[in-house]
Amino acid sequence: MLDNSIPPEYLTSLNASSVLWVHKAFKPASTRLFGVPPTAAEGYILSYHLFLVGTLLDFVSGFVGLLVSYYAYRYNRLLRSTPLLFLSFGFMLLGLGLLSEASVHLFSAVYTRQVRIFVEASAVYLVMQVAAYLVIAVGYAYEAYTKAALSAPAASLLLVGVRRPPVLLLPYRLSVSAELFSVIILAIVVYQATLVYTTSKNRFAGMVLTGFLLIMLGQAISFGGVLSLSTLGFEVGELTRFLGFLVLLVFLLRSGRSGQA
Amino acid sequence: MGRPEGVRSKLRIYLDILRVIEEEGEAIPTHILYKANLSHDRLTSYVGDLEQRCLIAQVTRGESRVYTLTPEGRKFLKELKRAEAFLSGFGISL
Repeated sequence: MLDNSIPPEYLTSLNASSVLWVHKAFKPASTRLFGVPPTAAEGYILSYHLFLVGTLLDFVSGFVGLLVSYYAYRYNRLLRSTPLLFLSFGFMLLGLGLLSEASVHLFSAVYTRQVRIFVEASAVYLVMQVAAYLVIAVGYAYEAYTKAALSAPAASLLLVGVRRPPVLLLPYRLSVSAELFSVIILAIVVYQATLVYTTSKNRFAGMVLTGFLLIMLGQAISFGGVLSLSTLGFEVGELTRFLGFLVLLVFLLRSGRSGQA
Repeated sequence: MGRPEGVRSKLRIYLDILRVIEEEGEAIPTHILYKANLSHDRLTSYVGDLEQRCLIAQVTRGESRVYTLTPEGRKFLKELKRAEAFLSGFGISL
């Protein structure tokens, strides 16, 4: 079981001022891939405050995700657009994943203090995250495919990606493969967003591109953090991803003001 | 399948007509036809649709008839503009 890979001394370290931090907690599992056992110096314990900040970032990011999902759904009711449906569903998965993970982590840290719940919440989130990015990428590719002049290569690139089955059901590889897969899918989304921006030179398209670019960079940095077991790297990745969500929030606010002009 | 490039959707045409009326306050059909780039037949059909949905209203000014936005029309135009801005961020056309 996953919990067995976490040194027992960590399990007893939970108290009011510190929390056992196994965020994306398959870090220990990922070490199995390379045969390096986790050690106490690898930073699984973060300060309670840093944990709260991370959780807060997840809450805000999740809220922004749900907001984007809501607007995509709302405009889909008006337009009946398939790409909007994909965007709405993708951001809903992302938002719900982030919110549920943050909620479970907070609840578990404050009340239950069970590592297993941390791990399971992260596992569920990782799967939801990959699914969400995939759905968003499909939405983008759908638009590209139906508007062949824009970017047929992006659509075909996605199909190549989709054909490769992710090894998400293998728990010990979940963290590494989910993060890697997320980065690959996001790279496709960013490529598509770049094409949209360079074609239209639209400021809103520029904001969405910046948002997705930061989210992708965040995922890539987090992936590096997971591989190198660097808590700092992982947290910098989380922060970068959060900035991406903030840019999407600015996009929502600015585009919402368009009707008032 | 999506629309061929350059073909406007019904909502896009509604938006163009409503924009012209909003810009002019009270727009005569010729201005709408010219600025929204519509043929006479299509103008009649779309303006009829908008009137039926109470989004615009016909007013007589002297010998000419003009169109104005109703409060519902203003709301609808606002929503369409927001949708257009949101969609443009993702490269989706209205």
